[in-house]
Amino acid sequence: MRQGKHSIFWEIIALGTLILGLSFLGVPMLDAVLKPSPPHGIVIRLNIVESSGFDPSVITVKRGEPVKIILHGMDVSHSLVVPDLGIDSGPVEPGKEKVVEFTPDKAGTFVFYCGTLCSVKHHFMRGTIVVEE
Amino acid sequence: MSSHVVEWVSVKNHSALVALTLMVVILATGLTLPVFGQVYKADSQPRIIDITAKRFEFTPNIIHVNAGESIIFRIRSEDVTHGFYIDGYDYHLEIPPLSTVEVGPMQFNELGKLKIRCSVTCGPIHPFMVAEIIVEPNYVLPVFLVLTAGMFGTSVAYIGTRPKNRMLGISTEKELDILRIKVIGPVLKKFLQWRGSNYALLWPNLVIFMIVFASGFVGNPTGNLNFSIAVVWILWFAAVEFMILLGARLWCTLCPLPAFGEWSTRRRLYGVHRLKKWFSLGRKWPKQLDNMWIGALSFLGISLIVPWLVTRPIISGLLFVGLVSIATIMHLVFTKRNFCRSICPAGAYIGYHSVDSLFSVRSRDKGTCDKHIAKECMQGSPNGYGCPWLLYPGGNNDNTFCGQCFECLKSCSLDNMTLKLRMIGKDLPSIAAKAKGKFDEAWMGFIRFTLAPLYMIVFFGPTFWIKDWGNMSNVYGANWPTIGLLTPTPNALSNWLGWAVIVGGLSLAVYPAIFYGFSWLAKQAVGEVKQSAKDLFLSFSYALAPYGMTLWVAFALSLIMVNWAYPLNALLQDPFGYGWHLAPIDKFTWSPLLANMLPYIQAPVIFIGLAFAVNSTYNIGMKLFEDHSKAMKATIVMGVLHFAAALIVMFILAG
Amino acid sequence: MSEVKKQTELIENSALKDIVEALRLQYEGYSITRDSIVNPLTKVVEYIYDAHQAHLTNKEQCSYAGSVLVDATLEETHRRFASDVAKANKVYLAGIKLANLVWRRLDEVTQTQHKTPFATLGQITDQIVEAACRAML
Ligand SMILES: [Cu+2]
Ligand SMILES: [Cu+2]
Repeated sequence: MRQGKHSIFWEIIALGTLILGLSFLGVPMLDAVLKPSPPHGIVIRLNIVESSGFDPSVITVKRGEPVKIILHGMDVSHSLVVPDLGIDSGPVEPGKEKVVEFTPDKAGTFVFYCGTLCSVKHHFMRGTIVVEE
Repeated sequence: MSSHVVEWVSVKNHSALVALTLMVVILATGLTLPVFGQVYKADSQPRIIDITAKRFEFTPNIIHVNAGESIIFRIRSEDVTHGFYIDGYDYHLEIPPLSTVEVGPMQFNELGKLKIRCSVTCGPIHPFMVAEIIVEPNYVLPVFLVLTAGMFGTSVAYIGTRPKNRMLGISTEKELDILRIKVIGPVLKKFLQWRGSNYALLWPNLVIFMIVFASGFVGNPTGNLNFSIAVVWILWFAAVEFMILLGARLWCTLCPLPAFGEWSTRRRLYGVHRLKKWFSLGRKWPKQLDNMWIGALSFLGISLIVPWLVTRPIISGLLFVGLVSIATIMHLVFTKRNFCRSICPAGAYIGYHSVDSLFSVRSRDKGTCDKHIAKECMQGSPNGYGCPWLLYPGGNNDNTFCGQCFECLKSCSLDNMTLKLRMIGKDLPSIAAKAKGKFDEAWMGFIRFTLAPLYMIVFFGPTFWIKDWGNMSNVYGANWPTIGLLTPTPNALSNWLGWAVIVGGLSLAVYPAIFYGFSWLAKQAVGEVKQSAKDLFLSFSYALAPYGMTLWVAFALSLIMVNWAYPLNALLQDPFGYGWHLAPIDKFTWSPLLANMLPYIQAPVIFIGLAFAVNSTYNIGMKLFEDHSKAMKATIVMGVLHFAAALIVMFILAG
Repeated sequence: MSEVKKQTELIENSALKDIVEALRLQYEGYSITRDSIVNPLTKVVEYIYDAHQAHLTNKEQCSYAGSVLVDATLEETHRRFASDVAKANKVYLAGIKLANLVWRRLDEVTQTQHKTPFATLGQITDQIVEAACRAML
């Protein structure tokens, strides 16, 4: 029972660390904090349409302000093409990032899509970029 | 200390020394084989080889080239972006969808076989998208076959010198009391007798399990970018094989699966509950289930879904949730570690191979334990619980069901429990001799032994159809929100049945039947003995414990050396495949480590396994018959089967 | 009635003899104080009281109480381990005897309900522990 002398103390310590350990279950919720997002940066995750396509698929930017889009590949190679703004990221490998920087010079709503064949529903992989005045 | 070493390894017999030396020469030859590669002169006119890549195969999947021949590969992707990587060559090519990329001219001066691997994640089965280049003339295969024969020959020659209680020249009787080694011993003892040690060892894995759950359900659907796959099925799966060798059931010390149940029944995380009162129904686990059958079959069951399990995060997530739930419920009903003893698929195979570990938890002096009335290692004391694995640790001689929770080190008031280092195969003969009726462990051995080469073919072989059958032709990764993508088509299901028949049939029926055939022959060769062919079949099956372990070590080597970057990135940078950068360093690029050397490392590992198998069979035979010539005859018959198995693996590695 | 009482006394005396003998052996080479007798014995009695109150089974708990005594006596001499099996066994068996004794008394009390178990506990402790102290000091 020697070990029992401080046992309540140690049980509480253990319980504390147990709760700390279990709390790691919630780490995905820290995504907003832990994903790399530099100033004026927007992270878009590239998934096949069967999962969730462009994530997010609607982004809003301001005319004349520089934009930095960080593309992160999730499953297979994709790319980001905005014909109206003359943007083509080129293929983004899964697990890697590509940064697209531009300054929109006209306002409006533009369609962007994936330029790299990625699944049978590849042609539905689309999104919109809203350039506000 | 040095005199100890001399005692352990001293080989008194000259012919035994010669045989052992030859074995070392054979191992060294295998390891240094690539040195004999030769530089050929390139032809003037390069040959163009067209390859198509589509998920998850290269066609052609086996490419024969002549040594020195000048080659241009023209690779076309038929679906998504793939990569093209040849072991040992620094080409990381990207093949965009529906386009063709050329590489070369290049020439191959290697002796044998090289693997082409996809280097751009193209879907769940991507890490196992493999083709082979065979450089003709392929000297490696015949050399490997000859070396295998040499190893078999020298092993038989070695046991012909009547080595008594030895495994390849090293005494199986000597043991080293780890807790009495200078400096390390006392520190380790202090740590293990501290009540918090189990919790402290387990806690990091608790955190890892939480991340496994989370990533399995909501992480990146692509396996190799997801913690639950990369860390569990690449890092852990490989590491466990080495853990068994060096630490027996060390994983069971660290495993969080049954922890919630155990803590609940004890109502304690750290200490020993003052009253011996369990939070549990306290039912008795049925005796007819107190064996390895369920564990062995659940390991086989897992193998039936393994192409999905090791590539789809959600399947892993669900499996672990299921295992934790079963383990917890079983603790609340049966109190002790019946889940770990009888149900856990990993527990079953880890336990089976652990009899051949270098490590054990044993009493210092069995006499003391026999005389000690209290048997605190069984009933517990204020300092530690009675063996949760339902053993009598003081008299234990078998690692199979010792989960190394170290409670007996804590509860023993006579300081009689310790950790011991010993030679592989110390306890095997006596365990094998008592095998009567233990079909469960025999079949565990067959399942493990058959699946190792099968996994080599399925995961790192060029044959696509077998991967595709197991994978049910599915091209999607999946987490919880996308689990619907895994819905199989009827056609895929019928293919999967074919896969199940192959995996189940080979391991449950075909190989055991062949093994029985050889046991029957061994019985005929031995002549008049009291054991039946069935007895020999069960007893000799234990030689698969060390042999199977080495096959899995060989498989684990290819798993980790090729794919080490995935688990490292998941651990350090981006557990959920969301694009995080937790550590302030660059992500590791996937680049296999010494992959072109793999066969030359794997083959010697298997040679050692063959020697273990032969020597173990002989030791088991000696225990059974107590007669050298009978044991020798039986060993030669069973040895032929083990030799044949090694030859088959050589074809897989180099053919 | 007197027959039963005699038997009980006999058991108590033999238990006391065993305890005294076991403690003497266990404390060989160490100074024996009142504390080193009172503390371990009290721990066993308290343990059995708690186990009895929790309706646990006699055999298992009394056997465990033997280990409680071993551990408590070691603690009194600031040792982690017992020096030899023979001594450890003696202490262990004495602990079991003591535990059984206490258990039986508690059984009686709960059946007859003349006194509360707790009061009995105090009585037993007083009797046995005092007797042990008288014999040893
Ligand atoms: Cu796409
Ligand atoms: Cu690919």
